[in-house]
Amino acid sequence: MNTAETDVVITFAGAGEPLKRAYSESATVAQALSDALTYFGLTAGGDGAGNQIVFYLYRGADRVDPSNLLSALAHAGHLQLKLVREVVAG
Amino acid sequence: MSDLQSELNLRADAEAVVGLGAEHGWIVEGPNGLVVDVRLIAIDGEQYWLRFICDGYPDRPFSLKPMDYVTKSTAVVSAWPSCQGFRPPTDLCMPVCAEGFALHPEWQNDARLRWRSEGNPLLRVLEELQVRLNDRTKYRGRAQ
Repeated sequence: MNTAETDVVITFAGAGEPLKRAYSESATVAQALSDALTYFGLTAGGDGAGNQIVFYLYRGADRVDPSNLLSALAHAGHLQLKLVREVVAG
Repeated sequence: MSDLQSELNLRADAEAVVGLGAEHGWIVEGPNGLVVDVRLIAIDGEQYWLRFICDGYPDRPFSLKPMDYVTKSTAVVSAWPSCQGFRPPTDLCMPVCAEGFALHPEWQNDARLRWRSEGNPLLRVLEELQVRLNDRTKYRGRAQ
């Protein structure tokens, strides 16, 4: 492992195995969020019926800002996040 | 799926909720058979007990309603939050429970909204509801 990388584990309660990936020092939460949606086979956005589906990443009980650097949130090069869906039905 | 298998599935997932819900202050009571009750705390400190009735768990969505802890009644309006998606004292109009899918059967045909039996549905739904109760643009306090 490159010592400047951050080991990130992202869990989603609607799936089994978590996403485990190493990110560069400049990688953002937004990148990890995008990767998580792809990994878990999820899609955000709206539909013609007015339903809005949004996903957020949390570190513990705190929602993390997508613009944050993963490296800034990590402890000793490791970061545990969880993915949570929000649905606003139309 | 037999009731026994549903109970075993539910018990395993509820145990995980106990451990992972501590950071939110969740309290889990049960399961007692196919019924489990969970207390959530909203952003304003108000506490809400939710009753899950989990027939066919995890393959079928559970019944989910806020309940009055003392009487165990889900018909007490003040036991409900005033929150987007909650329609006290009738149902939750969200793709997280049997009542929601009964209102909108078309959700089952949408890959993004369908009932997901994968992972831990009990935990997943509790996390989604906690997000909503933490959002002051959606949660407005206890229903009256």
